[in-house]
Amino acid sequence: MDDKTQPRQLNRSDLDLAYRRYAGIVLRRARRILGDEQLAHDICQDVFVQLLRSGAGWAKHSAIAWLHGTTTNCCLNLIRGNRRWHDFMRRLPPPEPVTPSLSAQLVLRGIPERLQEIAIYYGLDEMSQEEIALVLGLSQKTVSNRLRELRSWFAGVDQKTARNT
Amino acid sequence: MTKPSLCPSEFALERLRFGELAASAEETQILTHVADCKACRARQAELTTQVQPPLATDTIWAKATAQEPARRTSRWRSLVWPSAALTTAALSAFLVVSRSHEPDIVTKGAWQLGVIAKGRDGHITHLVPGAALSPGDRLRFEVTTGWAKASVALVMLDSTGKVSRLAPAGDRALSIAGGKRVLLDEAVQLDSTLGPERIVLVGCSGTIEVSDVVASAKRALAAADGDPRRVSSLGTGCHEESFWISKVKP
Repeated sequence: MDDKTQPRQLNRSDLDLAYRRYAGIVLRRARRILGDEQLAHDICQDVFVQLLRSGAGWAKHSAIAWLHGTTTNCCLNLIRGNRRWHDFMRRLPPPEPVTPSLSAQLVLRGIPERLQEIAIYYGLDEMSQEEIALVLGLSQKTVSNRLRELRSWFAGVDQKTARNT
Repeated sequence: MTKPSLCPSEFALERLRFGELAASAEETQILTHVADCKACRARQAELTTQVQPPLATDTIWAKATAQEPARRTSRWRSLVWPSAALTTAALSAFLVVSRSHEPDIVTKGAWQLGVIAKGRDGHITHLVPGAALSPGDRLRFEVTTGWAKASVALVMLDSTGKVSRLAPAGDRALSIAGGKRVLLDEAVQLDSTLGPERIVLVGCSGTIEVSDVVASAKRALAAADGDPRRVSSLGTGCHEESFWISKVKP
């Protein structure tokens, strides 16, 4: 098999090394999105399971981008999962009266699924379009289009709210 | 609109901390911004001091391989996480650890610089970029390259504008084989200078003189007004990897 299509499997020492180096980042990010310590630890485990399964090419472009994207995905999957949804909602901290950026809860309430990731990166993480493109493995143009779509979605919600009040 | 805020994102700060932006225009831009932004310096310090969770990879390994957790710990793991009772043994392991790590195949072209520290209390840790260390702490280095073979040299740039040669001890850069982690023989003890310091690994496909690397580093540091944070490249024409540490009072 060609090396390019079949990355080397990671061994136990690779896992320990990666965990020692990056677990703090993953945990911090998961904690930030979920607002729950125990769930963040669960996500941290899931992320490193995925890392092992991805093989040696996991950090090919950027280790931080891969970890950022995978952690966000794992958190979103957890939130979307019906089984733990109610449990998660119960554990969420109450929204801050003033928040400088969108909280994950607000981001996820009602935003179409395909825009949720980008809403987190843009609204919660305040990442640039270039950075979002790197994490998602998309072109900057696609990111720009999705952000435009997201803004339209917010504008639609605002109009609806204004009509109702 | 490309960015909601002028400050770099946490993502960018993490990439900077882990050396992913080394020698790029973005690195210079962020370092310049951070130098003048109190809030960003605070965020950076927060990232650097975040508590690493304890090594708990048994369950992860078991989940991924659908096997029972392995009982035996690897040599590497026992080197880095010694118990207090094993401090003496670990201390000698730090000084005499051989190059007998498992040969790891790495991605073609990939470079990694690992820094291992032994604190004055005898604890040995594998550092993350931006780690806080104190004078008297000792460092060792491990290098990985995806090239078939390379010549490497390591230098350190400190905040007083000084360049120190870290490895190798001889004039000619050390030749290493690609595809596996190589623990360098040299160990250095940190001096009393406080502040940020930058360790730079230079890797060339041909031979290089360590004195040339030191001279390039001195020129680059002088051009950056002696501030190692503002040095984006040593200008050696070779591959460069950098690693930040912050030296603080014990």
